[in-house]
Amino acid sequence: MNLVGIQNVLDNASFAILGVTTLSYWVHAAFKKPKWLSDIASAGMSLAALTTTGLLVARWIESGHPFPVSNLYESLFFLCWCVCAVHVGAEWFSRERLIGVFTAPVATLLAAFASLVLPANMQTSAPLVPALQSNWLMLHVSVMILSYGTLLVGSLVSIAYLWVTRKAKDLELRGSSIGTGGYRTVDKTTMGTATSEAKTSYAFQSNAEGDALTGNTLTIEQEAPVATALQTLNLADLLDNTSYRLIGLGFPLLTIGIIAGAVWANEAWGSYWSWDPKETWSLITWLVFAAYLHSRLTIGWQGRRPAFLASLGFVVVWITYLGVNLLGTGLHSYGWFF
Amino acid sequence: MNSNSFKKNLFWLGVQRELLSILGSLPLAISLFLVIALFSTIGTVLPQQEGTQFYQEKYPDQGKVLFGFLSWKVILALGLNDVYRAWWFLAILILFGTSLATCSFLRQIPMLKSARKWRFYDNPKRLKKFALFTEVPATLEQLMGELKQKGFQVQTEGQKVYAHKGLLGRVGPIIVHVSIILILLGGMLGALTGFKTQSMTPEGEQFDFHQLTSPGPWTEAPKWQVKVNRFWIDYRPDGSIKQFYSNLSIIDTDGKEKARKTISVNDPMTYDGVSMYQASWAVDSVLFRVNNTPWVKIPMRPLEQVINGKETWGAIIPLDQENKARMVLATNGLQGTVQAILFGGEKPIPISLKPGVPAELAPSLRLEVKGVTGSTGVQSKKDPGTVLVYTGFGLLMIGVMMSYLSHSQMWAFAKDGVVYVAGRTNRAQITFEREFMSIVSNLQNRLPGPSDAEMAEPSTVSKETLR
Repeated sequence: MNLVGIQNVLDNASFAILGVTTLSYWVHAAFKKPKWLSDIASAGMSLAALTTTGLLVARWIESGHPFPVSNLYESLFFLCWCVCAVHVGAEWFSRERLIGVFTAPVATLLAAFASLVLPANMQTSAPLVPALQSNWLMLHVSVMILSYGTLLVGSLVSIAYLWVTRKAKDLELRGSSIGTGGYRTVDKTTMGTATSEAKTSYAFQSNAEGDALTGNTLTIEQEAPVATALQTLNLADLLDNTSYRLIGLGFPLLTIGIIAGAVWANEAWGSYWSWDPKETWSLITWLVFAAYLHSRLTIGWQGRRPAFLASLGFVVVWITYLGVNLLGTGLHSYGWFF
Repeated sequence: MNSNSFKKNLFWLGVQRELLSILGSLPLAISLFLVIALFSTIGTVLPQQEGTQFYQEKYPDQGKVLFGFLSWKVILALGLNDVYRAWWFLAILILFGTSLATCSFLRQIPMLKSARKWRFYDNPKRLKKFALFTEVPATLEQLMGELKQKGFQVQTEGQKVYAHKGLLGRVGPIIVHVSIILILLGGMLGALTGFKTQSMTPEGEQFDFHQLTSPGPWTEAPKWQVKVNRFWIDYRPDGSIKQFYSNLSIIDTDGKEKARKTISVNDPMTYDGVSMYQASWAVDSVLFRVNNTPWVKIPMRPLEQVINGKETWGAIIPLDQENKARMVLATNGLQGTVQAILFGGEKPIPISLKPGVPAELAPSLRLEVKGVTGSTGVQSKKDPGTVLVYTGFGLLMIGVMMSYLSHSQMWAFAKDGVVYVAGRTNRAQITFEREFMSIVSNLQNRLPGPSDAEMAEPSTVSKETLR
């Protein structure tokens, strides 16, 4: 089989695997069982990460470009790979499969758009126009898309957090640059009894939404002179902090990506910033997530408000990535079909 | 001393302090982020930097007014035709920079100082405020061993321990703020003292910097000139463009050549702080003759119609007095081939001319092309702010990466054969909770002999919670 044939198989396989994965996540979330279904979903995400890796490697060998991100098809599959890979990392980190309910459909849509919606002539690789023949291209485009993937998964986890906490009040955030959430909240300390232990460990395994807000307070030793109960993180805290850490990772990537683009533009045509629509929207994305990171520090903004900002960020990333090209102007219109 | 003026001073001090605390406040920062983001979208939706006529036609002030208010008068009055250079947008950016600086001095630096200042605890009641606080029947030495293994820096005073790691995570945001201030200052310096200009120069001619399009108030234009020695294009076998090249010489006021370089896209030339970029191109002229006359230079202009799906340049040559018979010369680029089309007969007669190969278009009408000359579009730029901006870029990248680190702190003390441990971190709460649990459970599992049975239950709980 030649490289193009391999690409076609992997392209369709990625979409099929992601479709099955999404369904598995959804059915399992709806019925909370069977466990093997969530295992399938979790494995499906890793498998999709592998098939998209294979697809991109085959494309890389075929085209001979420094990196396969020269047109929309390649960038869609690279973003799809990023979402899958970051999801696998986030699921491993948070040990929480609820995330997949939100991330798997996004990855599926990306693969579907690339392999089903894009016309065939947009899918083949083409030689690079002069402006794109630069090493900065590889750094700029790959870091940008990597940051989009990380920020998308991060904001999806925030959406999951909003879902889990839709009936909750008095939420405290977990994590910020000044250290929100390191101190004991009063109402939870009273739960430091042996009975809550059993309930707690059950809550972690069941992932049930109803248990999401149960305080997980553990007693290490009952005879202590003072209550030395550990106040640990519940499902909502877990999602909140996972989202915060992912966006905290995506934000530096976005920063480095924008800077690489600015340096590239300055070396190529003498202007590190020209308020081109794509540039401007990447700045808007940066500002929205900067607002998210700062909103976590604000006492009046505890609770669900930062997560709403992160959800706004989810929309803004899509506008930056695809929406701007609908305008059809500016420096970033190479190789796009809009 | 006058008590009245003292009161006045005190009042102004109060106003000053109040203003500073608002300037450095988080709600202002968040509002500025969102306001700048919102206003930035305008320029991506509304066409920018067009002529007045354009807005008059597209956004009428009578009849169908867009959204009922967005007429050209409103657009021009608010500067929405050039949002990113509008006075109010620049004012918001300056406010943003001021807020950043105030926040750094008023909040971040004091916060870093207090994070570096640590204290020992020796009272369980004081540690109770931490979400992660427990006691383990172990020795301080065992705990310190665990902490060091996990990368903590450990300090002791008697039976009290303080350990921390990731203090750089507290320094990161300060570096981020400083670097953004540098970038804003660099942008300002560039706008005040730099310039940017475009020139379209035919091969063999020179361009200078007498007419700059957007000089700053303190811009000094260079006196020297640039000669375009050669301009050429590399084509791929399929006819698509691979790269553009211009060979440029710097000529000083005495006419001496000071420097020479071939520039291409992504490879500019820099002289005296001015960078010259390959930005654009055009077909300038064709050397042409009919029936062995001397060579004539025919200037070419861009044509509206597209031939072969590519940009096309052409010229019209009248062949008789009444302007009935005329010839059109057209070409797609610098490959040398020129299309000649003769009008005036019953139907147009086209012919393709290759350089140095004469062709008979009609009896006694021998056409010949010697070559096609191009013009190179060079963008020249001087930006003394680039040094500041690039320094800001470098620091910003380091700063944002440092800001991912989580600053973790642990306190412990030994009392009556038990070790009380508490800890907190600012960012990575999940990771820190697991680290804390693993330290505690390692200490419990290390215990020999009788206390094993006693500790059996808690240690299993800890493992459970590790999830």
